[in-house]
Amino acid sequence: MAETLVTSNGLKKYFAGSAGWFGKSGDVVRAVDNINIAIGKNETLALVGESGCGKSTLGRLLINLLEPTEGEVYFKRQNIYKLNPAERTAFRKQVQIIFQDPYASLNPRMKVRSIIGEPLETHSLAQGKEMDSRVGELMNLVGLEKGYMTRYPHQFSGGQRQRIGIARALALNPELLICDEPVSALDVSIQSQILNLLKDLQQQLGLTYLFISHNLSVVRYMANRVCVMFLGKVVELGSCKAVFDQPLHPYTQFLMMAVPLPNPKLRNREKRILEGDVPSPINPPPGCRFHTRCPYAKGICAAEEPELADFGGRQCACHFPLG
Amino acid sequence: MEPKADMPSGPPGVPARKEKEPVTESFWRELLYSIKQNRSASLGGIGLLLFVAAAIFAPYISPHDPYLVNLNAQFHRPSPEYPLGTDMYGRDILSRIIHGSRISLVIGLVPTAISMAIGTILGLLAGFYGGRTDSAIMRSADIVMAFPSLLLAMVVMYTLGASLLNIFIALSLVGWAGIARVVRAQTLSLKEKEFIEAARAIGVKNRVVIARHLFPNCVPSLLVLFTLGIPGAILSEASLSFLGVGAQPPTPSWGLMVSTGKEFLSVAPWVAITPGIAILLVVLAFNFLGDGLRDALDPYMKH
Repeated sequence: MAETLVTSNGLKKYFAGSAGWFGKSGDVVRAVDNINIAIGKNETLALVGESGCGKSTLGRLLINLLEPTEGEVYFKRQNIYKLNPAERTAFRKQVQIIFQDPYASLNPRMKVRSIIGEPLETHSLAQGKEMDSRVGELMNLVGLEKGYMTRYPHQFSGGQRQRIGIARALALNPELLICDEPVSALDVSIQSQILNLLKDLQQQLGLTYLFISHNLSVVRYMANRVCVMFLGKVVELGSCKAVFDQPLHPYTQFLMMAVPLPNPKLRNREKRILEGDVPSPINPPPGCRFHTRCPYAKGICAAEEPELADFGGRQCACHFPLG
Repeated sequence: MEPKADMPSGPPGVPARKEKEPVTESFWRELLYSIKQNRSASLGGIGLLLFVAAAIFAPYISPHDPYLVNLNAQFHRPSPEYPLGTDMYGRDILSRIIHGSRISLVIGLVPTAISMAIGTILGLLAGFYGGRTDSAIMRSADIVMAFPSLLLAMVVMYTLGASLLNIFIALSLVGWAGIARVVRAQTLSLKEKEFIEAARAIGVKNRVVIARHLFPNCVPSLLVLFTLGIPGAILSEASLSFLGVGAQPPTPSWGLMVSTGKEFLSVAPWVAITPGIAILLVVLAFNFLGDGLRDALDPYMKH
């Protein structure tokens, strides 16, 4: 990891449930609980974990779409929650987000030209003819025909819509792109197109990705490093190869075993499926949050929460790391 | 690191189809099409056009002067001379109904438009900002809705005095609350959509988000509310005039005509019944069209 672009420091986001009628305080969901991660320039950090573990919340916290309950995020050594209006505008140009659902992420009442041109207009970067030509460039960049500029989103397929969303995100020449499950709503054939497009764009434009996904095959294809989350906490963080080939945390191991294999001959590998449900993030179990489902759990796991510790260039939060 | 413009357009797998004419105004065109497909909605539309035409060209198409008193022609039965008969002052009822359509049209459009404007703005603000703004706006709406609307309008008319302007004020005061509720609900559901989040990620200002992203997506439901709100306003005006706190004689208001005609229901039933039928037809036309619009727009709202 060369130069660090984003760092989070003790980042927490608690969502308060609605307070009861008689002043009873509501339940608190700890969506993101004390997370310290760093993303290097030009790398792809993948965020994996099951639904509801706080991946998307973390992604939104990192670009100040959500306010944290506690903690800081530094983007190029600037605390992004303490920016003055001018700095905030400048920050908005440097980070963008691509969404999961290409049907909900484009305003159905706006033409493609206005959708892709909106960032340019908002930051007064281009107008009129100049904006048209810039929008045309962006459309070419993501592989869309320039002539489609005057169309509405509903006249496009899912994959094309996702390209429009990518073009919009690229309009401001951002450095960091949060990809919030950018392909999980697309056909498999379209998925590979979009993934390759993202990879090409990263090389061409020197982008940094936070790639949120629960599709591990996609992650393996895209990521340099992988961060595994469980119930709002990071349980393992390391290079893509290391995490996939030799998971240290039992949860990671189970995740890897759950990946479907295309090769039938390999299907008789040892396969265990995780039992039980994810514990509620409202009342996470004491100690290690995974101990209720972990086959290796011992007494200490229920009593003491394991810290994220270094294991030769990678990190893992477990009392009894594997391997 | 400016993106390169000279990249080949269209990656493998996405056929770069050339089309002659990109469809731009598909929304209105499709809307018109589905109205045409719907029999009752087209009937409503035609009725509506006739009503508007009557209001616009009233002086040219009415056979007599609506205010002309002719005591020699009291209570004429419908005849070729007076197609819908005459009232107690010998005034031609057809002419009065045609002229009355002007009042009904204005009463239908203006207060509805005013309450739509107020309700839309307040609903957008309540839904978008939430918290205290939301509570303040929606509790006021609840208070307005808690009163029987006609009673509230009557109170306003009694205190301000009976005049056309006061009818506008009374009906607008009553009408905004329902609109605000619908718009707020729509805003709340739209706010969760990712395109709003995308706009925030770009750094679009709040008021631009409301004007550019939220409002246009409320337009389909507003269109339906507007068409269904007009007959309500027409009926309210007719009721107020019937009760004597709306239009004052000799204005040819339909509600007032029914009210004065009811005295002579046994001798000359046409005096009260014909303006009543006019009210019925116009309200039906608007309702038919409004229902058709709602059916046509439903699939849009689902997207």
